[in-house]
Amino acid sequence: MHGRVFPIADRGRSSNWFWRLCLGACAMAVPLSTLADERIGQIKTETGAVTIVQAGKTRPAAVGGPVFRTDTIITAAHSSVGVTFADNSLMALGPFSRLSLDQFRFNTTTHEGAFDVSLKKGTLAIKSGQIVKQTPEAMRVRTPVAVLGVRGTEFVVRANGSES
Amino acid sequence: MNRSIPRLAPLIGAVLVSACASNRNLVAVLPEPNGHVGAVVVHVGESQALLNKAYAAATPNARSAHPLRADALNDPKINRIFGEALAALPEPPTSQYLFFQNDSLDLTPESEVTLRTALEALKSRKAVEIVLTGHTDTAGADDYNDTLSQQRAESIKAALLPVLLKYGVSADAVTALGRGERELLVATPNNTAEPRNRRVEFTVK
Repeated sequence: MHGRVFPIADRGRSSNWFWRLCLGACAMAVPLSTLADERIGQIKTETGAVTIVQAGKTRPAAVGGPVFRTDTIITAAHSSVGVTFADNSLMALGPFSRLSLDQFRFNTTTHEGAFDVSLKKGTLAIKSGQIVKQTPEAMRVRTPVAVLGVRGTEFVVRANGSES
Repeated sequence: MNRSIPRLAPLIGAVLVSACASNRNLVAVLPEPNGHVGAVVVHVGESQALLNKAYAAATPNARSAHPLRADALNDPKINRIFGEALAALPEPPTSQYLFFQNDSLDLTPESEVTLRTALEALKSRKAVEIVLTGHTDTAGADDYNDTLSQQRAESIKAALLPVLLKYGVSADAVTALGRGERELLVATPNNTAEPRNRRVEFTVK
């Protein structure tokens, strides 16, 4: 939430000592992983047309490119994408899919954290990682109809994009 | 009795498919390569279902009297629906332990070989990330070991960077972490010096 209080758009003001102080205090008060722009994963595979939306801005997805917290990943026809996350979770989307990354907190020392995603439509394959290994059901997958509590590790989800 | 169920299954499946949209909502748990099967709890409103067997599946439907109707899937059916997504899953990360000679940053001869093999394996990956995770034995306080394991990982990162560069891995793709004494390779009581627990895990992802 602190990431929203001091959004990254305010970075330009950080030359001002006051903002530096605020950002410094903020960084000390919360783990980095709550900042909206924190890099939480990397794109490892891609076919066809895949785009990522962050705060209303769209960028093309590319192998080796970053995935940030609060990104939404969208695949077109005949397209797919695979991402490896900081806790070693693996996720992949099939065609006509839309996945938003809602929350990612991960303590690399204790492996405690939380990982929430929403599959708005399409197909999703997951191998859960260290967050779930440390705390079963600390990963949640939402669809328009259901909420999944993940205890591990490999599973698939399809959302038809409507309520039924 | 048992034999009649599989024969009926395709019929029941066909009825389900025609009753619902063909792209109905679906959740299925898959067996892992090592034979282990995990679990997913599916919630729809007040209803919930535990899927904890290979290919156990549910078809969530908020408008149905049976919001979590069970489904039985198999490999061909999974591949037909999820083949593209499954094919896009990244290679799982792989980890090796590196051990060092007498508290130095020099690898043991065995670990030299381990490292070379791990570096060769980098060539098959398109986008490489390296994570170096330090681990300690149980001697010393937890906080101290957290710091020590982090410092070891940082030292190894600095020592390995020139080698990694030769394999096309840049510094920003290498992360150093510490796990303290949380993951012992050899189980020991607390406050026990054990060289095999003092190690750095070399993970390629």
